[in-house]
Amino acid sequence: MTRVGDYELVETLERGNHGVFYKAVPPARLGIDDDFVALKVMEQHSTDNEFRRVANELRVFASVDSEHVVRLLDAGQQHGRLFYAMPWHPDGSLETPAGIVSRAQCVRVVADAARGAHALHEVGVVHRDIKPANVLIAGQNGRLADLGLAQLMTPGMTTTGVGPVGSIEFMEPDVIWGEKAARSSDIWSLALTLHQGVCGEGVFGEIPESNVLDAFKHVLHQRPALSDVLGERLTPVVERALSEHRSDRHRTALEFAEELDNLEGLE
Amino acid sequence: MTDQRIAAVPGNGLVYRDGDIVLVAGGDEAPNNALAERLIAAMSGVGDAAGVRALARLLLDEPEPPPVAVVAIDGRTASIFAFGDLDIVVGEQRLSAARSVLGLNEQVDTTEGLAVVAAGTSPPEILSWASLGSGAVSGAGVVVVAHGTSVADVVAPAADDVEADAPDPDDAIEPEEEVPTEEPAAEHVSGEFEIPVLDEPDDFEVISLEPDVAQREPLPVDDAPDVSIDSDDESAPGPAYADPVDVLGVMSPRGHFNHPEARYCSRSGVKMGASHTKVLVNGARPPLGVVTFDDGATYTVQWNTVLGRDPFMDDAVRAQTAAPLVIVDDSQSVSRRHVLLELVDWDVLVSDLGSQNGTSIKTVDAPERLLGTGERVVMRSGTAIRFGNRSFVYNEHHVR
Repeated sequence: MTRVGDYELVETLERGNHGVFYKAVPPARLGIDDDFVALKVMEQHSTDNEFRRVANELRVFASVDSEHVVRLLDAGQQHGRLFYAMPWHPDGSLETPAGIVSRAQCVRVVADAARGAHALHEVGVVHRDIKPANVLIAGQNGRLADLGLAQLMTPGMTTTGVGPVGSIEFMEPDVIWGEKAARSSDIWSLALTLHQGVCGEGVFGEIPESNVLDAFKHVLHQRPALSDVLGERLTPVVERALSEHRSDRHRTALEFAEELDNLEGLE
Repeated sequence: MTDQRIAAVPGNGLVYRDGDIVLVAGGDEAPNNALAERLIAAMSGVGDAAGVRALARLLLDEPEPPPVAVVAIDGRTASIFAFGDLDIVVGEQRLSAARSVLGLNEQVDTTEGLAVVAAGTSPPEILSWASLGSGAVSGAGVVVVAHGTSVADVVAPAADDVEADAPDPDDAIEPEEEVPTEEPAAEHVSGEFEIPVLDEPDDFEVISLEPDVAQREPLPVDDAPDVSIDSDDESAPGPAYADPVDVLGVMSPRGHFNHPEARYCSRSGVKMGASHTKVLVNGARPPLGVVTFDDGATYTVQWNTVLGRDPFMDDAVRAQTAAPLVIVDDSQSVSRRHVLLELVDWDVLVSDLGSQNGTSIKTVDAPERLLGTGERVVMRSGTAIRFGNRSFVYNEHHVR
């Protein structure tokens, strides 16, 4: 049987350069009723300093008391590899939902994820990796999962290589240019996640999957082009969140969420 | 119009045909009348992909859209758009639309016959005289009878045989997610790592999640450039390689620091005015470019960096004058310390660190070649570097 720590691995969900996501059976010591958890196992950490920094980040993440942030159940290390467990979400994520997500539900779910991001920002944490795969669906509500730890493990690393090349399009270009991540970085990613969820397409047109350099130039040198599918009510909200200058965007993720809340009656 | 015979599968949903376009909505459940009318209106007169997209949009605005399939028959092929609890049966093959959020979008061969049925069910026997010309009828699906064959030939494997493909709400993420694990192209093998099978469940350490650090301050609301990823760990001063380096450059009209010969600002794209190009000022060197790896990972080039499987033993890394960048490579084709990226003024120089398998460089205007011992080459946009089974492409930030 394959194990990590005292977790039994059930299946591999996602795999990339910096870690692997598993569906796993949690150990009895956690005292939870759930049959399964999502277990992330990071690539071997590099230095004690970086490891400590990541562990600190996880502690802060765990301390966030918000129903819109996925609970961190457990963390540990084995042979220098960091792992952490989160509850299993059978409804899936905005990237791979278990059912059809309507426009109204998508907006609600992203607004919730924005509230989750705000809760993180209030304790000094930037998520850094908000994308459809990290916005989990829990019935009619949404939850923000995971953290972009790649930048902490390896400063300068902006994307993890998890998933297709196209996932770089959710990164704020400013961060790729070398700016420090801030509230506005997550707000940018939330807006792109909303666009992808509602329109089923990104804002950079066809990203050439086969050529990473072209994909990169796309994201770095093009202004986002919003789809008509977004509709006249969502477009101004997304436009503002994608302003070229950070100071023109929503000041907080909560403000972004509240603007979405005010669009009642989308269905 | 197609000479293929189309018949409705008995049921309570909506089946609609207009020429070569067939719509199935609701499966065995009747969609509400208003929606059915809108669907029919959206369908009539459109026989192309644009019509299908318009339909998709219409459905995405529904709070609970019914399962829907649109089949556009074009001779021996058909374009199919479907989502919800419907299966598309093509000869022996069964495609499930149930798990696809954005819908199944396929082009299929109709030579073997084609059917759209409720998920997990098989196409029924169609009476030899049954045929839907045009218009709307009740039905749970459609069978497109292959030209010159009997309906029996269309019958697909029984639902039981394809149970693994049938939608299972508890397990819905699985098939989509498994795809990446099945396609490790040769060059990407090194992008993954295997978790060793560790059958010693007590051989691990639990990390306490109790906050043992003082509660952090909220992030500043105003755009604050000094939110550093190091600032949250005061006990760990930044490494020496991250110290700012002053270089001579020019300011763009929007206040971005640029390469002295830049004609356009690398950040804002504005043309550098003549007056600006003349004033050279000292400023902190901005990140010079981005390295994009074969697996899609990206790394901002802002300080000297040693790339390798285990770069920590490198002297420059130990002295903190270069950052380590771990390159995952299970095939061991990458050396422990393999490639060095050095920032000199406004250039990034690449060299091989005496690796076992060498490092090759391919620039835009020259064929691929091996880097010589001690040779340092300036990278430009499009310069591709191969080392072992891994590779990256460099992209400069500033426009020359």
